[in-house]
Amino acid sequence: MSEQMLTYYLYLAAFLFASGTYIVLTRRSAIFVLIGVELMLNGANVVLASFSQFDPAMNGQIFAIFAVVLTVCEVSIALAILLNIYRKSRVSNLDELNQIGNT
Amino acid sequence: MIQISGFGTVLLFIVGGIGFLMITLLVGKLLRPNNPTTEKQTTYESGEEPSGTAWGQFNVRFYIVALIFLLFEAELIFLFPWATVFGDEQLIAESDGLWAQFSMIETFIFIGILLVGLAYVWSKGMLEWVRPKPKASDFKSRIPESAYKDFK
Amino acid sequence: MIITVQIFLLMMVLAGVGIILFTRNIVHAAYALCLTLLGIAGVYVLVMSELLAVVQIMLYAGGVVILLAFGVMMTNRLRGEKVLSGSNNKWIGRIISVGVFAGLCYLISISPFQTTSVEKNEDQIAQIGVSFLTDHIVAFELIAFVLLVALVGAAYLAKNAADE
Repeated sequence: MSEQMLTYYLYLAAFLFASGTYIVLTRRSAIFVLIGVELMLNGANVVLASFSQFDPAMNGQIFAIFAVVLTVCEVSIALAILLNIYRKSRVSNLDELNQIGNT
Repeated sequence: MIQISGFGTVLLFIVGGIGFLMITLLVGKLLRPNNPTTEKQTTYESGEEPSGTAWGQFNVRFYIVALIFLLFEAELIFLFPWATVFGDEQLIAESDGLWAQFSMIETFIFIGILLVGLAYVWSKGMLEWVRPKPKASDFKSRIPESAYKDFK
Repeated sequence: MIITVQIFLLMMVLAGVGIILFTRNIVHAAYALCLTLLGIAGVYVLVMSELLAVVQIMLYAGGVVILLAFGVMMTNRLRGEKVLSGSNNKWIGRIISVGVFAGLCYLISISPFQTTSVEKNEDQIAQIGVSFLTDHIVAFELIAFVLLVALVGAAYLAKNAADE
């Protein structure tokens, strides 16, 4: 694994992160925003994994595994919250969601 | 690039699987007669007429089951690496058997914490499947039960 | 040989991200996310993170995408039409994301990375298992608590939505 190869993986990670940023910033649907968050987290994980191959203790890989498991928790709770919001106010777009509490 | 050569076998499995699927579909395409009629194009060829769309609102219980499955799969991820080392004889010998006790106790704490969650969802009845309850009819027939026995 | 695999994985990831960026259909975006995640799992294999690749396929491609598909089915009024989603603030988003990408690329290109060759342990998964139980034992036990809290919280919220 050369330095050149490592920078290619880092460029890929930067691309994933920037695409995730675009999706999070522009899309209206909450599920699309979650997909964007997944892309950003994957960009971060690619960086961790590609540096982890130069570490004999593989700390980057272990950190990335913990990050993946935390992402699973985040997605399951976010979707449960979305379900509640949809049941209460029939809204699934984030820009229409401008009220809190029972109105 | 010697270390990843073990994944060549995985690639071979994937390519082999796709190849088998493609060949089977191709042979089926070549051999079968092609005679589509209106009846054959329906969803259930000799059953009910489907009405509405397949994209109805899902029951939330499906989501709960998927969620429980996914979180326990996440637990499983941590048990894979543990399972390869908890009985490692060299480590046990180096630490006078302490390693075996330590790894077993730690992992049982790990599983025990998650069993609390399983007990919670079980006691709240989230694992029960929603079944339609059959209603007992209050219709009373004037023919007695014993009459059926005579006409066997 | 390895360059073929690399180009194939790059095409997989780029195709998936491209579909997510340009489609308006949420279901297509979820499937494209699955394609992207499988490509990234291949990238993990190439950078010798074997366990992470398996975790990616099991948890992300097999779990998170399915939860997202459930989310699409339960938070939209589905009457046979396609589930479309619009965009807001397109130009601000483009400027910010292109700025982020350019800034990250500039930082990567000026950083002097010096790579060293490392003696690799043959049995990676066993090594990770040992370090879960020694160096990372606190994180290992805490993640069980996080999973418990996520399980109870998400199941309670979803049950709440189901009962109404």
